[in-house]
Amino acid sequence: MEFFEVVARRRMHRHFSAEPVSHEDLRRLVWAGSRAPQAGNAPVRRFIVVDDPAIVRTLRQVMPSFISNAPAVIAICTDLDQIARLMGSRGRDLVSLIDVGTAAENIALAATALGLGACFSQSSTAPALSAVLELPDHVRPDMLVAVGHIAATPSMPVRMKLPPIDLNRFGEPLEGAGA
Amino acid sequence: MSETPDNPLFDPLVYLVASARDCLDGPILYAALRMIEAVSRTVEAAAELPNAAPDPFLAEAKRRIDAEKDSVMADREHFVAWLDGLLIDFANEAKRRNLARR
Repeated sequence: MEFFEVVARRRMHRHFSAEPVSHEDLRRLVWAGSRAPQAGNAPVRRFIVVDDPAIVRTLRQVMPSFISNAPAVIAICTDLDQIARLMGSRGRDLVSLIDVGTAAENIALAATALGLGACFSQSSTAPALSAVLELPDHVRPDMLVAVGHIAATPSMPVRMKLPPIDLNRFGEPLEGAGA
Repeated sequence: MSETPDNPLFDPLVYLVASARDCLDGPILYAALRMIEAVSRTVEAAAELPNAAPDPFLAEAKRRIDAEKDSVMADREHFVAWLDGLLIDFANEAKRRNLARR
């Protein structure tokens, strides 16, 4: 699939078939996530692939925004010790979260290219996620990306509006801007 | 080894505890979504209870919730209007059931 078609087709999916996602596909998704930029090239990102149905079910129980029936999850985590040492508090509290977002988007784009669906989940129940995933104290669970094979009747797409695009200064529209 | 109770309601109860914490930091619209999601999960769990009688009204409500809940992300006004409709249907059903108990 051509790159801009992947970008155009990328959306959040919440209805999946029961077909498991192969470990090969999960590895490719994590590879795509790991290719996303990280501030300072700091090796602080951790991925945990979850496809044990009992653990996925538990994540669905303790993560309120996880409302899909995805059979697999990729948890994107940050090593807080490493990020604080390499990038300071701004790295720990802000930059690392941006980097998690870039990794998540790469995974979602890769899922689209592979014919899979993905959905992001983030909530205020991080302690529960840490308990379920048995994370050490210095590893923060930042986002779950639920992945699976798209159901025959997918969830409805969200209508995305192109944001205003200005040229050189705020309020000066870029002529002909748009995809 | 300790015995693990097989209580179908455990699933929606865990979800409600997690949602209670999550709602403290989230937008009010998502709190509504969490509650409606809990309704869907509770209907599913209740159907697994021993001697559970089929409840077509709740089964249909779950189907409607699962089909419409995504709209909170796409169209707030649509979601609110849909939720109003669901509430009216539940109110009418509650009245019907309460009158039948007299």
